[in-house]
Order: sequence, then structure tokens, then C-alpha cells
Amino acid sequence: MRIIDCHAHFGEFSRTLVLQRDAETMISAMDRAGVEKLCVSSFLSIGPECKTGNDMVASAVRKYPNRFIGYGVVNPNRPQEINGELKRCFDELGMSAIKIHPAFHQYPISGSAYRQVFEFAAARKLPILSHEWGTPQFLWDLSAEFPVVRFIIAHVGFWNGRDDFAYREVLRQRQNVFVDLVYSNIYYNALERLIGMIGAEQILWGSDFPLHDLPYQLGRLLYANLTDDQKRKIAGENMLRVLDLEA
Amino acid sequence: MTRKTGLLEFKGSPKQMPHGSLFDANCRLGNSEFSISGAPTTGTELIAEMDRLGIYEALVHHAWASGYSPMLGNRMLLEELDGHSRLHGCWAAMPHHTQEIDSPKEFVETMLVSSVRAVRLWPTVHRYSLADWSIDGLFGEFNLHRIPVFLDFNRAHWAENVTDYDQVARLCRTFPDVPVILVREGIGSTRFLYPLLGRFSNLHLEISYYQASGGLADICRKFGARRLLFGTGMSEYAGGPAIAMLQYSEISEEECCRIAGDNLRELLAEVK
Repeated sequence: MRIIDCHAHFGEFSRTLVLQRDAETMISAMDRAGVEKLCVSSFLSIGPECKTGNDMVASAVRKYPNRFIGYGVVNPNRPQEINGELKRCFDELGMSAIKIHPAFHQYPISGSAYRQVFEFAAARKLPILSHEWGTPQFLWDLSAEFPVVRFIIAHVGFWNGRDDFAYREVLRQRQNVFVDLVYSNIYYNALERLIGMIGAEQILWGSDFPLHDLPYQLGRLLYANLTDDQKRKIAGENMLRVLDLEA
Repeated sequence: MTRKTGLLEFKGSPKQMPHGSLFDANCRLGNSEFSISGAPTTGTELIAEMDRLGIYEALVHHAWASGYSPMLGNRMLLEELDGHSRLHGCWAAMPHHTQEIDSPKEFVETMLVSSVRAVRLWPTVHRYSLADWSIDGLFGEFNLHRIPVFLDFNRAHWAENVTDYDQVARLCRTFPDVPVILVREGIGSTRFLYPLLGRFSNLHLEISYYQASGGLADICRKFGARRLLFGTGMSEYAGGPAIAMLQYSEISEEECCRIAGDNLRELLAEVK
């Protein structure tokens, strides 16, 4: 089984201790857990400074191209910098996808600055991982307007594991929308119920590593009541498809 | 190296848990407000799920003890545990001043006669103080009997500031024979936990929500494996994550066995 982590980070994090802060220590943890590749954005990028954070990620990707896949991050509060930084990320730094964090940057996903990001992603046919996507209607409209963009809903859309899952219809109807499993609270039987609603083809495994423990987040998948085929898809095959890499 | 997890072939280096080693310190029976259909809420159902996951024993409390009435929940727990030797009771307690539970002496006598050797407190859910004027009578009795106390501050997310660490420190200092176990502390707690673990040898951490990457190994190195107790948080939460974290942590087999269950077995055996 190939394990591709669709949602990981790099560097320090002001809100708590991060023990595994450099590429080599992270690779050691990946090897222990059997994780092949990490898709990473820098904590610095989703925090105060995108450019330096993007440089940190690019450095790790250059050094370990088979282990790290880079997310380029931009800050919507400085809209005049967005297009330039995105071009730098994809023309010079070797990034493979875009990550945005409306919550940390305290800027609404429906704000005008993010239009530049969506249009850039469409022009380059890139995936976008966002911490949040606002209302299901917003993502419904956006995924229709930009059908070549793969939209990844982070943190299971903050689903509580019990209700109908707000993005259910969007995922059922839009093949370019995916959801990642990264969440600190892993509710009993929630993954099995999520698959019952939307199937396994659009679910991506991720961890928030090195904030969260890789095996802990893997445990929800490995010990779930699923078929081996479903586990393989979620563990890595789906994300390889999102990235246009061979499964 | 490719190994078999028991579930699927994949690369990695898990420890094989010795049969009978896993003793879950944090399980719940009965329906809570949020219990979903199909979750294990009876003793028989919980043991079936434990068997699927390779967990041998569990320390369990009743959902009604936190969500309705501690004393009724405690009685329900005893009924539910009847005939299940792999499940061990953990009673809910609270200060006795409102006479909703017996006096501390009577409460502890009754629980020990009922073969219950651990208690759990929900100070935020049940709305009482952990200050000396509220709780010290109860803790004095726990101290006499070395009863392990699980403190549950009802944490919903790692970024919440819900734990009263100042009172945790006071209780550990004032009652050194009480093993105090913090339940469902998260990654945002580390900067509070390290100074407390360094200062108070009777403070322990139940790991069901403590998913700091490399965190178990770091705590073992700095404070020793005796400070950690394996737990899952079933049946509200999935059991697999905490098991996988323990299996893959960069710790010795001996440390792993301590966390998996030996620590809890020792704490329960030391109850007088």
C-alpha cells in the first residue's frame, strides 16, 4: 500500500511544541510509519510570511524530491503579491499544488483576493487545499466554474461524525472535489459512515504532521472496517490521481 | 521492510503488542447525548470491539455518570460490568457538600467493596471547583487509599484552554499518594504538561488524544514511561489511532508494555 500524506506541514508552530522540525527528522518518522510522500506547506507560510515559508518547503523538495511535495501558499491580505508569488512557486520553486488558510489569515474564502488564486489554479490545472471552503453552495459554484481545478476540503469539513456532512452533495456531484481526513478528533466509525455517504474515491488521507503523529492519524484508516481496496485508495492512490502522478 | 499489521500489508516498523498487554484506561459504556447507532454501549459490545482491535482489558465508566447522575451512573456501571471480568469499573465522583454523593469516607468504602478501584471527575461538566474548600475532603480520602483519579475537563479540541492546571498542580502537591491522570489532553497542552510532569511524580497522562508527533518518545525520555497510560476514548472515539501511535512510537519494548497496560495495572494494584 502506498501512503501519500495530502496535508502536512513544515517547520515550527507558535501555538505548541513541534518536535520534528527538519526534513531529515521528518523522513525518519515517515520511514517508521511507512509513509512514502508528504505534501507539505510551511507553518510560516500559513502564518506571518509566505515567501520565506515557501522557500523552506522548496528547499526540502529540492533535497528530497521523492519524499516531499510542495504546496505554495499566498496571503490574501497582500493581494498585490499573490500572482507574483504563485508564479515564483510554480515556475521557480517546483511546487505542485496550492494551500490556502482563510482562518489563520483571517480572510474570507469568498473574498476577492482568492479569485486570483482560483484563476491561477485553473490556468495551471492545479489542486487547491483549503483549511475551509465556506458554505457548500460556495464550493458547489466554484467547482463548476473551475472544473479543471481539484478542490480539497481539509479536516473532513469539520464534520462531527454524526450529522449528514454538509458537503455530501458537492462531493457526490463534483468529481473535482475531494475531502481530507486530517482531524484531531477521530470519532467512532466516522470514516465508515463517510464512505457510506460519498464512497472512497474522493477521500484523501492526511495527518497535519509534524503537528500530529503520523501513526495516530493512520490508525483511523488501518483499523477501520473497510476493504483493502478502499484503504489503498484513501491511503495514497486517490492523492496520486489528484496530483496527476501514477498510482 | 513490509510487515503485516493484521489489517493490511504496508511498509513500516510497528511493534507487535504482546497478547493481553493492552489495557484501555479510557472507555465508556451506556448511551451519551452523542452516541451513534452501532457504537458499543454494552459490556458485550465493547468486548467485541476490543477483541477486533486486540485490546484485552478496559477501565470503564458509565455515560450517565457524566451526563445525568453520578450515583445512578455508578450503579448502572456495576450492573453492566456483571459477568465481564475484562472490564474494570471507574466511578464518577464529585464533592459531597450538596449530598448528591455520600460522604468521602462512605463513598470510598462503598466503591472498594464494589471492587471499583479508580474514580473519574468532570469538574467542568458537573460545575464545581477543584479548590481546597471544595474538593480536599474527597481527595484526602483518595490519598489514604491511593485511589487513581482521572481528571476529565471535557476537552473538545486541542486548542481549548479548559484544564485548570493550577489546581492540578495544587492537588498533586497536596495529595502525593493520589495518582492523578489527565484525560484527553491534546497537542496544545504540551507547554503546560512538561513543567507539571517534571515537578510531580504522581501526575500521569492518558494518551487517547495526545497525538504530538514524537510526543510519547519525548515524554518517555524526559519523564519516564511510567507517566503514560494507554487509552482510546471509545465509544465516542475510534480505538485504532492510539493503538497505532503506541505501536509505531520510537520507544523500547519495555516502555511500550508499561504504557500499554502495566502502568495502569500497577496503579490499580496499589489501591489500599
